Amino acid sequence: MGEGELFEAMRLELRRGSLVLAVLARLRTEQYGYSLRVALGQDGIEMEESTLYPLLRRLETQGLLTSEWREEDRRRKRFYRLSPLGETMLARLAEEWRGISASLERML
Amino acid sequence: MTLTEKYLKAVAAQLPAAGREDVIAELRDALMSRMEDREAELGRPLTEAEEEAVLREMGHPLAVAARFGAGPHHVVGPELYPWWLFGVKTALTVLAIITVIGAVVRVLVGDVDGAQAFGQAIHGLLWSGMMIVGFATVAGFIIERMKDKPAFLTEWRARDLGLFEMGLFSTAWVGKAADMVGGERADGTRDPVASWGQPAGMSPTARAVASGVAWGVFVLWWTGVIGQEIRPGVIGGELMVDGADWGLLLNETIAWIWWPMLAFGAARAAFHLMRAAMGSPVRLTAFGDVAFSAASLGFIGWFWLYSPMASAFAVDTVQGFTDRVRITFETGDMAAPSILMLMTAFVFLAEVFTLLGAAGRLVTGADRRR
Repeated sequence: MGEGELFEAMRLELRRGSLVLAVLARLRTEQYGYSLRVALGQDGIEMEESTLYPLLRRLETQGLLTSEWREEDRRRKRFYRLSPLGETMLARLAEEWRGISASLERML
Repeated sequence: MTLTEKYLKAVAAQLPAAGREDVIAELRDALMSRMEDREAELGRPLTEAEEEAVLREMGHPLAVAARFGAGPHHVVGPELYPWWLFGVKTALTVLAIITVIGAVVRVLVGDVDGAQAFGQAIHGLLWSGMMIVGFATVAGFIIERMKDKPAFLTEWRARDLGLFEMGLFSTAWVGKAADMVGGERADGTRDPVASWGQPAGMSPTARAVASGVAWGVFVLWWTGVIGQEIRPGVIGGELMVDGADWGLLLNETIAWIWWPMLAFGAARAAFHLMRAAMGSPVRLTAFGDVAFSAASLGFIGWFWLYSPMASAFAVDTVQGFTDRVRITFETGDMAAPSILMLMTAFVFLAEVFTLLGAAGRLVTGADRRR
């Protein structure tokens, strides 16, 4: 594995855990899958659809999100938003993230 | 049908029925939104090639469906893999041992020559080895999909880690062999891992896995699934000892015990794997050891007193036994009947000690080996 490939593999590994946090944070306001992906992209978090949609389902199964089907722009779309449990979880995870980030900043 | 519909149908075919429509509706919306954005950028409808490019960006239908699917997406996962490898190594070690013994016996008996035995052994090792890997993988596949994982996965202990030093191809094994023959390996160093002597100190769970696998291989061999060239009925050939046709006697004995031995081996393999799954409780293990030792003693007794082989080697009295032992050691003539008699007596004694030890553990509920 060349240096470039190795970097890419490690970068993906590094990002993987933070994606959940980004999705939860973005779903403080209601979004459907595509608009969420666009919003994340505008914030600098690129996410493949094949990763995002299964993740949304998993988070909903875990009770962190709620969803409902509604019609918009003449098409039925599934809208997601944080559940009360999701809000609590987001607050706790955000605190954890800041702790890790501060520690790493000191080390780096 | 448009390319998109074709794509969605391919994804849908791989999804479980429950929730399929929901997933497809959401994917359809995602694809349509993407294509509309692209059309807005270009200011014209997409060509078929451009539509396909969007679909390709989404990912292959099999991969996309797999991400929505429940359950593990691997045959043997990282937690189970060391156990899988250990099981395969143990089984291959047992296979290698029975193959070598079988080949040597057949050469000694004279029904094949050395070159034939070597060729058959290599052939048998290759195919039977592949079969063992296959069986272990099927077992791994099932374990990965069990709702409640076996205790050896969830409640592992530091002592269990010693078991990964065991196995046919591990460096510890090579190091251990080097320690035994000269104390040093080719590079002049001692293996720090092997020199801890850990394999002997395997945890009860590790021993249970090893025993279960070993008995599993025995059952496969006994039934002729693996090691066709060295299956029980073949070994023995046409060996004549002191005018007695040992090949015939052995085959008659095997015909008598074929089903009981199969039941015994299968029960033993199942029992060891069950106790591995349960964390190897002391009393359960002791109970099994008592039952299996008692059955073994019964079998050895039958072998000595009533089996077709008995007429070839057994003696009726203690006096007869000691006389034969004395003559064997005085003359140094290791005749086949004497060797078989001594081996049978030794195995009988070993089983008696196993039975007594297990009975003790059954009563006290304590195991000094832990």
